[in-house]
Amino acid sequence: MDGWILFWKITLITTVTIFCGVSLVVAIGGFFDVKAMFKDIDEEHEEEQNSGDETP
Amino acid sequence: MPGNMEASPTLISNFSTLDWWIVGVYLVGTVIIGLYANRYIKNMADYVVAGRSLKSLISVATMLGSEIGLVTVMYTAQKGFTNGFAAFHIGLVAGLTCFLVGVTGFIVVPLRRSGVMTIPEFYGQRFGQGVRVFGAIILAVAGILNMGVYLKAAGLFITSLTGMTDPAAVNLVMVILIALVLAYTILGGMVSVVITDYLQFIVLAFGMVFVCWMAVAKLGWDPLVQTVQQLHGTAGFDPLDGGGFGPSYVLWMIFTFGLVSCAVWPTAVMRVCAAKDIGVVKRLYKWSAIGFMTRFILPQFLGICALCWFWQQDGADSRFFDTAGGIAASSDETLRAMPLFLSQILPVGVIGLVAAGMLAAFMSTHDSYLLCWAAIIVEDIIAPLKGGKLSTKTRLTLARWFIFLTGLFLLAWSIFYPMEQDMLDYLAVSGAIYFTGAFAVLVFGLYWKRASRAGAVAALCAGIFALAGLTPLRKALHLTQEDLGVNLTEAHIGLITTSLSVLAMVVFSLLMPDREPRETAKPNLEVA
Repeated sequence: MDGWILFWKITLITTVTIFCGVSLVVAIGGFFDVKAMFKDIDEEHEEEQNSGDETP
Repeated sequence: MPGNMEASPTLISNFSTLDWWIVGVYLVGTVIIGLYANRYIKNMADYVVAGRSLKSLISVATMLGSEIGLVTVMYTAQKGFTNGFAAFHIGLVAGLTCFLVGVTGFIVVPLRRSGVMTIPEFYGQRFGQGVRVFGAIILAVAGILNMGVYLKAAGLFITSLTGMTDPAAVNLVMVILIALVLAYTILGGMVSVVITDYLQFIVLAFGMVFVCWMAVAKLGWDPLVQTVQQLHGTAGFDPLDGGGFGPSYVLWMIFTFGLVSCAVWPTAVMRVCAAKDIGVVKRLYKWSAIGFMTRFILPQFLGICALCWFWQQDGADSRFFDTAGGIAASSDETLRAMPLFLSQILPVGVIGLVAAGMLAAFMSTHDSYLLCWAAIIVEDIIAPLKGGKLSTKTRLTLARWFIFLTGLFLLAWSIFYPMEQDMLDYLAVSGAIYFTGAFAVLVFGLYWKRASRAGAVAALCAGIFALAGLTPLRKALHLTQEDLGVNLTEAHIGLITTSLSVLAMVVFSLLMPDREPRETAKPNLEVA
């Protein structure tokens, strides 16, 4: 059982550490992706308006 | 017998007026975002998959924002409370499987390559419109049934955290929550989902780590281990120990919360369909693996902390424990354990932020799911039945109406369904009605040229057997241990159903092959 206790302790610490790092990267990078998403949608709508097509 | 609730005095929550203000401002802000996002919605692709314009990091944020929801936090904390550290195996298999899906592209890459918006749309491409409609009906029924207990979890969380003791308060909170979610999902669609998921991911990710740190600081590591050892014994640490989970349960978790939840469950697949390209899909899964792991392990850890706290405070013969020190509370009560614990240890201000974050997480999950089921009903049931002759405006109006009607059903189900098993097991079983069949249809449809329409229908039908895993139905069908003489658990029923679906797919495909291979199936047979 001691093996399991140590294993879950290491799992918990590793998970929290990596999750903190990933969260930081995603939080910062995600902001720029949101901006890019709005830009892409606007551009697509402009293209549709110019071509007169409508996506079903 | 349930735990002795009279033995425990009513717990006084630390929740204050300042905390209510924090929650109010956050919720109003979320609704404003929904209204703002409405201006980007011009067609169904914008509404359902945000114009297929999501890049890697925002895809990760929105996937995790949806999947680390309040409901997940509640039911996984319950597993930590009732099973101890051994429950961590669920997070471990979820993370590892998600990473492997990212590396191999199994299911998700060929699915994205097919260009579909929903899983039933793939059924249609591969097996014809009849299978698409049939599969979509099963998916919508199973999905909405699965979602039926989310509101209850949120109601129990809020009332426990804020210290509301009136029995009617849970229902009132549920009504307010569903009204808020409906308002901004109906207005904003996937664009508002993406923005709110992003914000909620940030609040929840850092909030959860902070709360875990506070809990450890308050209780210490050794007392946690000692409590689990005392109350659960070896089964509290070893997931393969028959006294706790056992090998069949672990196998069931590898399949459900490992493979299915990341590669077959429609809300996760929606992120695949919304991704910009296949490279984004693979990165999304590799990056999300740690989130899929964390969404189980951290809440389970909080459940263990709650177990330790109430054992130290109340001891045997109390709210949660019987005279022998076993966990004797009902499912509703063990769900309350984690928020009750937080209401005792978190200081004023922090508790409001946690409540806002959790509520936001609830809304984030709910909006994604409502949107997903509505899209499937409109695009995969009504549109094919109408021969695809529906205008964009009609599709959007119908989707919004179905979101509203689903919301009403969820409220009724949350109030009247008698929960008689751990919430995680209810979710796995109700979801299995869909995903056991869907797994067979997707995998064989993507990777086996001889998979036929008859095989697909047979596999989907076999999945319905999973209903027998719901405790009230199991009692009605006389499938309990007393009736059968053997303990047929949710895990056994789930694994049997999955095997039946795979078998049905293979046997019926061989016996009743399609007369002509479908042209549309060819691109889907490519493997990444």
